[in-house]
Amino acid sequence: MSNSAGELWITGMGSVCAHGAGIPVLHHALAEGRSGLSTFTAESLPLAARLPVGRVTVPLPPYARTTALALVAAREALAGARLRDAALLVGTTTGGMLASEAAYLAHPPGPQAAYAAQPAHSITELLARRLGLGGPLSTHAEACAAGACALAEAAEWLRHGLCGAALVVGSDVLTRLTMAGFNALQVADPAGCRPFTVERSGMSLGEGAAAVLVERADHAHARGARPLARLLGWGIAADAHHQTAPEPDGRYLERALRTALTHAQVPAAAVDWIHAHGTGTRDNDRTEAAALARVCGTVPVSSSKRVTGHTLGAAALFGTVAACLALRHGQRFPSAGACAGTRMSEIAVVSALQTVPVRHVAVTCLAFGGVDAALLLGGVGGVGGAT
Amino acid sequence: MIGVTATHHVVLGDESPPRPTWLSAGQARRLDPLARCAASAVAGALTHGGIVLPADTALAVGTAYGSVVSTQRLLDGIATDGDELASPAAFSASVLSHIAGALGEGLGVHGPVATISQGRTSALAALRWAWLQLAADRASTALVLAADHHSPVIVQLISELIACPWPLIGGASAWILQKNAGREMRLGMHPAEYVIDGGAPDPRDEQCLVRASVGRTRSSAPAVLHGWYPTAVLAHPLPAAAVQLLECDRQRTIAVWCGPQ
Repeated sequence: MSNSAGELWITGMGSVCAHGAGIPVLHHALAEGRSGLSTFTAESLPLAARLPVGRVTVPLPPYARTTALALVAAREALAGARLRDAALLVGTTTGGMLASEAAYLAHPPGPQAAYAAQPAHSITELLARRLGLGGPLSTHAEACAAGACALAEAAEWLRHGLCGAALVVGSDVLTRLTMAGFNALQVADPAGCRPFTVERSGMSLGEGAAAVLVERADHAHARGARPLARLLGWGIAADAHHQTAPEPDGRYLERALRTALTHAQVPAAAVDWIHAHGTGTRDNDRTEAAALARVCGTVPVSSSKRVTGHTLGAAALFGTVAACLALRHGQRFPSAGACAGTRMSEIAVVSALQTVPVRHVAVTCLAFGGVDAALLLGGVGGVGGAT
Repeated sequence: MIGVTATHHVVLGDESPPRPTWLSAGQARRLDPLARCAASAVAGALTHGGIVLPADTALAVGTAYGSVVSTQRLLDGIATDGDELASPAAFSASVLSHIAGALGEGLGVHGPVATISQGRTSALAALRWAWLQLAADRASTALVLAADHHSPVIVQLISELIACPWPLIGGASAWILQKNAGREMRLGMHPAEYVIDGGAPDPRDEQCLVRASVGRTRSSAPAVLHGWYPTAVLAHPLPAAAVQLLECDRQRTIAVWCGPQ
């Protein structure tokens, strides 16, 4: 195991999703490729009656829902890392929208105070106070790439000495606004998402939070912490093409991925698995497959969107957690829903759990506003595969 | 060395030019009011600095509320027409990364991009992100945009929660950072005679800003603008001498320093 001071280690993880709270719960669901999608009836989310979603049903702390989810994942990550203080970066899209939209749409309208929690950073502030975190804060709102962008900024904070450890949390909830919005764009699949299949016809939203604790190797080593995985590189590029549709050729996702590989000094041939964005929309999966095929050829690819639903700002952090689990356990998780149709031929879609050495994993995502992001994680030896 | 090479500020409703040349008529039509104001600020900075942005330009938007008027337009549509008939245009404009996406599309820049929403410290948080991109050689130029406006609901909320000493306005500021050019910029606190801050409607935050500026000449952006919005700090003209920029939200302060001209 390397102990280079310049390395960034992931030393803690946490999650809560439609399958429940805790990393073991998520790990089992990923390994089985088990769908977390369901329909339900609720006055606050009328479209959930016909569009399957990943809904969290475990009891949550008594805070605004996005914050409560974030708190569950953050506490698990800090406990796993055995660390009490760190900088905090959050990726989210909905922020406190759930409470404010309920107040806005109520008859008569709800109290003005409901809007106070709407800004995205309200999660970060409350999380920092509840967890007693005294370091710098940042809240990223790059839509579905927000979690990746938060983790990338954390990496730069660590490399430039702004902090020694950073807790990075992605959290988003199901809201009426997002469900109505994606439905209006005609990208929601009533059958539940089927990423990377020929028959795919849309996405399925989900809610949840995922967190990782990332720290400099010297910081971790000094306190006797062990790495779960290494964060080796990242890349972000702008499509500059369209607000809601990806650049069809995928050339800027390709750029983001190549940047991550270059900075990590890892050849594409050494990537053993890709946790792709894989939303299941016609445009996303076509664009992503084109980019991944050009960079990584036949490297196996999976999407976990049918497991958790598309958790928007948390999606890339669920991908990061999945990458850490893959590296630690030597597993490539199936692309849930791949067997519900014909797998796309442009890439090697994983149809069943594979137990193999995994040295490096790439995590990719694409977002509204034309944001493309890629992360590269490496193992630390042991079961998953030697570095 | 990372330096500031151009700045420009536009008050919402006073956009000039109304449509920058790098935006097509179609692109301009799809912009919501805040994004249009942001585009005007960028156009001004590029013109005044005589700068042509390279394709790898990093783009950071700092905004506390984002395009909140579009969000409420979407919610109004849901309330009026129902969930099945929501407006796709209002939905895409309600997303906080809408401004960065619109500017990136118009400018044709493909470097790293971020939208940071850290309340009343959003502007300097975006500036910090941009500085890090240049320091890490991720880009050679960075465009930082700080923009906010207030919807009627937010105006009412602020009036109920705090006694804001300034009128609520909207605006956008564009800063351009480049390597080895302009006046030096650093993160954190450094020696400077002047302090510029974004103003703090909350008295406890105001006390933080007062403490941080002891021994220096302090000027708040709202006093110069005759109005306040959360990311107004970058709208304040820079003095020729070294200056410390400060923002504060819930007693957490962020600091950026600019060297002498």
